[in-house]
Amino acid sequence: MPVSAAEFREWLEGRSLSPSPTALSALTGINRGTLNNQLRRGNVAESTVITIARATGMNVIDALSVFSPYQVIKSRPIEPSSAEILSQVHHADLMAELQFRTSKKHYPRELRKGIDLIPFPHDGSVRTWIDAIDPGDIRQQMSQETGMALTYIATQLTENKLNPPLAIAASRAGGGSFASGLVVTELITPAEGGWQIRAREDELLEVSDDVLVEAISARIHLLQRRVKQRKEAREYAEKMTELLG
Amino acid sequence: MNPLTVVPVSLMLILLGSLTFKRINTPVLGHQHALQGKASSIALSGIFLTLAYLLLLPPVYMGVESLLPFTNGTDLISKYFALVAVAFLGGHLSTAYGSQFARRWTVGAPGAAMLGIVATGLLGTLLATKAPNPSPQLLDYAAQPSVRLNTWLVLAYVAYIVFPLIKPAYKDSRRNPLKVGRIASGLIAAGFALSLMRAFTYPVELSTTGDATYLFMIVSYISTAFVVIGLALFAYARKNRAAQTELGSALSID
Repeated sequence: MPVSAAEFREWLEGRSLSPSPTALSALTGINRGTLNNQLRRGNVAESTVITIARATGMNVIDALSVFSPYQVIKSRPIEPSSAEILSQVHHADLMAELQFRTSKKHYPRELRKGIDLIPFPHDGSVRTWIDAIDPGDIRQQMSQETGMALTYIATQLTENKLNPPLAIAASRAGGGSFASGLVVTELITPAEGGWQIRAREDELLEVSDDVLVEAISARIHLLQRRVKQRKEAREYAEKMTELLG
Repeated sequence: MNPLTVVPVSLMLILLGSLTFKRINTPVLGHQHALQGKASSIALSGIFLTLAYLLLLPPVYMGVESLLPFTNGTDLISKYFALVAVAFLGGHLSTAYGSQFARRWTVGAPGAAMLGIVATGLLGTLLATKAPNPSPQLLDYAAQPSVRLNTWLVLAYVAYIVFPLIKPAYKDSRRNPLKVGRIASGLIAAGFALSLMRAFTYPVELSTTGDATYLFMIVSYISTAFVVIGLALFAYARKNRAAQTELGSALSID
């Protein structure tokens, strides 16, 4: 759901910015040909709007919400929910937290001192976000809203990505912040999406035991699937190289 | 000797010979794996195809001709070697790609019958050709209908073998978890598609004259090169244990 070129030009003019690809390229570093193509086709990528907003010191959420597909962003709180934050904590960090809570003697928290949490996005982090906000039929709702096939959505999740329209549709179905989807899919930074600097670290410390264990259990299930898929892929590759190599 | 014939044949010989030698003689792959292991048919196919091209080199061709009872028997032997190489390859690839249909088609009863018919046809067309002097690939007598049929028989057999393998090879080029495997199967599928195309466009080839004829021959050389390089990439993946290194633990993020 890129934004329309007409709206884009209007937005630029409203901010006294030249709509010429050369000027925009000089401002943002985006390739002039890319900008030219987007304007010619009448569809400007969301990332272009965001890059211009960043280059001119504009609030990214304010900039995006000017355009019709993204006007809903500010209709809900920008900040992420606890579940959304926890969904972006790697399973290894969740398990480390479990160990710290299990025994101060065997797993002192100091072991972790000076070591950051595994950054996100990480393998499967988009899927865990979807799972965290899923009211039960999130994929169907995403498919209905965007007109994209369920198989396409599944492929996107397997590749740990979602395009902006799907991210917005997921947020709408999940009832949470519209900005979170854009953060999780890396379109905007966590700070731009209203995440506190140490949101994940704080959430990990504050989360209750039952939620922590439930999150680990769900992640183990995903991990089992991934390990099985990797095993099958390796066996297939070994068979082919053994037979043809 | 037309350089348009000799140069591509020599280049193919170098490519095939070196890759086959490398396959058989690489310590990591081992002689046992190459000649007795699961991929032995590939090595045998490489050996037969190398011999087929070797026989087409004019000095070798003339030398073998002097030992044979009838003129251009060397061309027949070369084509038989090529047929056997293609049959070995087809049978093996159908197993590797897991296609039962291709397996029956290539080396089952229909495949054996087709090989017999083509082999007999090649002998018959050679005997029917008025070719008093040795000529590799019978190029000096290419205008004779029997030679045209002779050439088409080889193309048709290759097309027959590769036809059921294009789809499985293409599928593997999409689903193989290794990048090198996807490239290799893509090359094999492309090579097979080119071979099939040449057999179907043979009537067009017949209407061309002069050096343009060699362009069509080059299509076959390119298709062979694609398949051979594809197989060499699989050997490279095996040698470098690509499956083990690239698809190691699913847990590690380092």
